[in-house]
Amino acid sequence: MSEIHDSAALYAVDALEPGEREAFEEHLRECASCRREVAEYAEVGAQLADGVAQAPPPSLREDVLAGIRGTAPLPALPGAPAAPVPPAGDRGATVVSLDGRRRRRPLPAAAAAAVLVGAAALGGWALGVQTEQRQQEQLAAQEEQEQTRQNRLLGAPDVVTRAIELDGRTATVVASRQAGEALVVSSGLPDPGEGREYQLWLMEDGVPVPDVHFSGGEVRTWLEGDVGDAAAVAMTVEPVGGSQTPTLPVVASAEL
Amino acid sequence: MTEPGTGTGREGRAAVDEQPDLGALLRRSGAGDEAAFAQVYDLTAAKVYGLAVRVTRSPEIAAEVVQEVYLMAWQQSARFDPERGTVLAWLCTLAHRRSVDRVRQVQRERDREQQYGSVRAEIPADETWQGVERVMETQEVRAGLDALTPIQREAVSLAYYEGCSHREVAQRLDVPLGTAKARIRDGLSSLRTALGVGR
Repeated sequence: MSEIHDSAALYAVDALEPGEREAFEEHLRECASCRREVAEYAEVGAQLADGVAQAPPPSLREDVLAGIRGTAPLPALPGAPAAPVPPAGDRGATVVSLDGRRRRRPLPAAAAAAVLVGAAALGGWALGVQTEQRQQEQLAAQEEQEQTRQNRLLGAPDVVTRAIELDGRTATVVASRQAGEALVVSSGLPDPGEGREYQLWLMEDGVPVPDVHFSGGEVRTWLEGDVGDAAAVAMTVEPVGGSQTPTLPVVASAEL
Repeated sequence: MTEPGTGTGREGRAAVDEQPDLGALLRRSGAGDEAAFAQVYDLTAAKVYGLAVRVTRSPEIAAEVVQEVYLMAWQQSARFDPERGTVLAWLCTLAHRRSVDRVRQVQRERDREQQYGSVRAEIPADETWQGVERVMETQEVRAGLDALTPIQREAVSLAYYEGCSHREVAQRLDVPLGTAKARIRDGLSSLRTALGVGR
């Protein structure tokens, strides 16, 4: 047995040094026997954890559940041999409709976007892109660029979705620190009022940095700032054209 | 999970122990069912939190770890692959990894400030095990650990409950690196047998 195979147990209990951990993860991708061994040691770990179980503070449960409320899990990976999501919730329907053969291949980019849209129940924001086939070539190129940008965001390993709620309507922020980008989408925000617009702010070290502004209704817009440094995104109602400092109150916000 | 039959058996036992079945609850979570996910939390949080407290020795950091673990679990719930192991093992793996990374991050910062070696080297390893034994609730795990030789138990406790890397285990036990690695490995392997996992 070579040195690298010997690392499975050490890897499973996080006892490898940083460089070694990455090297072993490379190896894991190609070695089924090490994957199996790591999985077994993970079960051992779960039993060891059982030995030191203690009740968490009740407030922690609230915090955890508040953190996921109104957000959607990421869609099932097309390439993974994971069990298909049962059609219990209609949100998973897009994923289920892919047959076994297709799930073994990477999804075409547009389908991947559609899955995410389906999962997040956002309405037809990406499909809208598809319907304008008669636009000029220039526009098509722009769309392709847009699609690429979107795919880069959705494909980022650290992509997160955060729901911001406003009067029962939801806008979803899809963000990735790695890509440094965020997209905000909504199938319909309430009218912010005559001469008013919504504006987003990236919270960086507690300071609100002004970002995009938009009116109510259907929203699909990229944030201008780099979300890499932002801890949260907040939304206010501002005069049309936006402001440099936020007009309180903050009507909605989400941590990134 | 080695043989297909073994895996099913473990899942089956988990279902009896912890109704309703965690795998089914997580699948429902993957479809956006928040209530199902709340049940996943209720059935697993004591172990995840306990582990995080044990490794980080800080209820505050442990609470953050728990938040991160469940947020990650929610986001990845539709991607969870039951072929690779149980839900509980997955959550504990996430919690252990996050806890260890947090501890090492704090350590690195401290080391940078103080400019001298490992600050955590003072606690004798034997106390580690006694500390674990004091809080240990499960007879099964205790029996499993008792099946190890004392030197294996020491090494496994340092690695799993203290979050030590093999290098730190070697330092703490004052043994060569290869010896430390072998003790962790052999100890885990014996535990795997004693606890009846796989093979």
